[in-house]
Amino acid sequence: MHIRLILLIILLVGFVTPSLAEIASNSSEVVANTETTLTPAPELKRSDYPNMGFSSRSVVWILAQMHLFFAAFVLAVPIFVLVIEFIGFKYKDDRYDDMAHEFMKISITAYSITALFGGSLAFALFLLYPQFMAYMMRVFNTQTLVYAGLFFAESALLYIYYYGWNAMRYGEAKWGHLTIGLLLNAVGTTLLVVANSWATFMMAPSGINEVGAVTGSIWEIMKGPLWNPLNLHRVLANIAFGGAVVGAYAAYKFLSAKTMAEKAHYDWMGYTSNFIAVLAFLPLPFAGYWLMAEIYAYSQQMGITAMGGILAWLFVVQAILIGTILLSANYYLWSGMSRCEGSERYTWMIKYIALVLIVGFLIWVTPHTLILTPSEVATLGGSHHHTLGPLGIMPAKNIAVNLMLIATFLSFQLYRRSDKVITVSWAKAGNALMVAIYVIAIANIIFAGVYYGYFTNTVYKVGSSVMQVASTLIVIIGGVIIDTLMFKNAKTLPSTWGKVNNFSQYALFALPVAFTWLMALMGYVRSSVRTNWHVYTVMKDNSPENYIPAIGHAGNMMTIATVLFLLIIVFIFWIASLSNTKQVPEVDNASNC
Amino acid sequence: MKSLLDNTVVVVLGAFILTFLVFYGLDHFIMAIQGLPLNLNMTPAQ
Amino acid sequence: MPVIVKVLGFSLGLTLVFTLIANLLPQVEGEAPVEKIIDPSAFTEESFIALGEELFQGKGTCTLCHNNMGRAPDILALNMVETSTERMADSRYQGSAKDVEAYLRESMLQPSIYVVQGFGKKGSNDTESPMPTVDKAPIQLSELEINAVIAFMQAKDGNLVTVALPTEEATPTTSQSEITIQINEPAMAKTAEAALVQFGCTVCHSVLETESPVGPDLRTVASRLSVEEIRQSIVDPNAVIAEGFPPIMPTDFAEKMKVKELDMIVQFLVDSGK
Repeated sequence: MHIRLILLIILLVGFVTPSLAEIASNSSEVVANTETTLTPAPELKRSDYPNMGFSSRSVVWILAQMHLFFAAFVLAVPIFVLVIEFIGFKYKDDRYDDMAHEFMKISITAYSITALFGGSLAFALFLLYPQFMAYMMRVFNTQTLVYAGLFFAESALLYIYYYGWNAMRYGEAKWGHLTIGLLLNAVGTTLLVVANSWATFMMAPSGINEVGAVTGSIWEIMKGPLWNPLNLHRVLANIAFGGAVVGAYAAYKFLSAKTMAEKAHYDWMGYTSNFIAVLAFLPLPFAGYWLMAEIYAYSQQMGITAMGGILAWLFVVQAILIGTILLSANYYLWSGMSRCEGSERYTWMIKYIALVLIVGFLIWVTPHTLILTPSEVATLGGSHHHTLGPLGIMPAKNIAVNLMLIATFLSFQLYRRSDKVITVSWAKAGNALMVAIYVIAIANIIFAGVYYGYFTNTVYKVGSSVMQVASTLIVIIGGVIIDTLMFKNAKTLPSTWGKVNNFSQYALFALPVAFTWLMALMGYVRSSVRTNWHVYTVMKDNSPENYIPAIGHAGNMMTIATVLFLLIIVFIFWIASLSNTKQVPEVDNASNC
Repeated sequence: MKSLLDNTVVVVLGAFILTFLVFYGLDHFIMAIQGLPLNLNMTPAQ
Repeated sequence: MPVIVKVLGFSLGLTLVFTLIANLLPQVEGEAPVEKIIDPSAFTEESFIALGEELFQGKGTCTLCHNNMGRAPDILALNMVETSTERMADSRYQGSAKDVEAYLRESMLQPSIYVVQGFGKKGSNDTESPMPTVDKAPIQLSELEINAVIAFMQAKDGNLVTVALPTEEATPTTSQSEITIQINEPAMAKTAEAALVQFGCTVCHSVLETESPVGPDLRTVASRLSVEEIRQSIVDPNAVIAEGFPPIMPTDFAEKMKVKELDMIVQFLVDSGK
């Protein structure tokens, strides 16, 4: 009976979503064809903007950032929950299933908060930037209705997935449950890419002519040059962010645990969360690089504004945040090695990994140009430190980041090997190959960065970064494959979940704090590269706040959003615990008389 | 052959040579598909 | 201390560290371009060149790429007249410019028509320029502004400025122009004759009704000099001294004369010499 119901739902969603999309594209085509005049984007004067007596930009900024924080969270959690649920199902391990269920409980409360901020954001945008919104509605047309419609599907699937967890626990029903989870993720991802198209349209508009009149279909409007790079970047970043937030939950529960069993449970949950966060985080620099490369290809000016011009310092701040993330994640792994005695074979490597991370971080943080505005660049001819200056440009930073990622992967690999004794006959060859891969990859990264970076022309310099990325990926993929094969029939050494110091848990708080602030920072970049345009080259921003704010002001705004987010997350964690609490009724002594 | 493979030096050397060749080929391939060919000594061919 | 306090304290503390870093860095606001009112006919050659320089550093966003960091030719360091001549002589040159001014204008309006070796988009083999078109969004320099930039590029190395200086009639207002025709202007000579008198030309030159042996006879100057040479003789008298005459002509007409006044004088001399 359950199966039939699930199949019905699948069929409904499977038909409805493409139909909605079809309607959207057909109707916008119809509209475009019957329009005999092409209406350009509005040209606004300062007086056209509503003046509510407060900073419109600040309000929209905070609401948008809050919405994005929570949206990222609720879209990410079902992704790794589904994977964990599947692992539990495949290996018949209840612990995984229970953990997946627990993660979903946190996500459910966050879902309504996401909607609250989404609604507030919409109100704020329509109220404070009505002409801009009117234009965006004109451009995106029926697609906005599809977006709204998808929320019905998302909500239905989410509630069935969460509340039906125990009802669809075993056998065929479990397959149905997993399918619901898959559909939930499909709808969620669709919501993400639809909303992404608005942001990327504002940065690099497509499907319109020079003055902003709609000339293309909805697909041409959506599929701009930045759409897919942003899609990939946000999917990965969301997973990393989601993992980091649930890791904080686990760390908090660990620190407040009363029994060893509880400590063990939450220690394991924390490790899994960190694993998810770092695994999704490792490819992020490459996704970010692709996004930046597409920005440069679309408009060199926009690219240079972001990384070589006024926003350049921002990327130094980004380096500091990523340094925090990598150091925290690595520190957590090193601390975790205390769970297993077998780790003592590898602990000598930790100081070298730490050295690579710190040196890499320092190189990444070194700025190149200290001058930001175009006029200052011209006056001083680009001033930078003679010795440290060369460390400020991309080749040095590419070397640093690739080596930092390899170092992080090494921490992972050592941790995974800590509780095993490898028994395969070809262990020596396998280990020799692994060491060779590390050494040659590192040498390749340094060679490519130094030679092509400093001694050849620009195109070879940029092209060599792909070589470096490939080297890092070979280490990661090669390491995973070799270890998986080498772990066959390995002896497992005893390790104790829960046997880790309290201080390590703080790494699991540092991670989401840094991720959150980093997300806000990247939002500041995304908005600022548009300079004084609502829609780049098409609709000018003539509002009183059409200038790029200084990084100090931006930092303060980002902190407000981050602190607000942290407080609401604490509230959400509390709700999750509250739903487990059962008040014991008071025994009525009077009735015993 | 087996005794050769038992020799740690042979194994390690072999692993390094193999890995070096793979990376060397990969470097050339990656630069070539970007339209940036390399000479055999890794210098730019353009 | 309860766990929640320690955890929140740590998280807030870390957040504040990031905030502090952001506030300790150099604070720069990205200014949005401000509307400027300019009277096209009130330009002197010098102020026109100055406008060009201001645009080069500011609204034109040229220095974002045209600097010494290798992304684009370092215009400020190169002698642009010599460089333009070299470029037009390049066998790869496929544009239609025949002189420096035309080349510079073409480079701004059609950057991809000729891409200097080594500066093309990656993979395009120097056939596609990464430079944006200067008269389109987001830069959107007007014709007058582009001319000013060209004038700057010519003048900065001491070369002759060949760009026609703007006049009231010749200025189109583009839809996104930040230049509008303004209302007030200082008293200007209304006719060529009035200008010739106002600037004291009749003191040394035979022109109009006066005769003077000090400088060359301007009534017949058009038969000796081209339009450009006449103009140069006024704004840069010491560039070419007519044979047999002393080098005593005032050298500050470029600053004192309005463009329109200069135009009128030159036109008058050309017409009356025929």
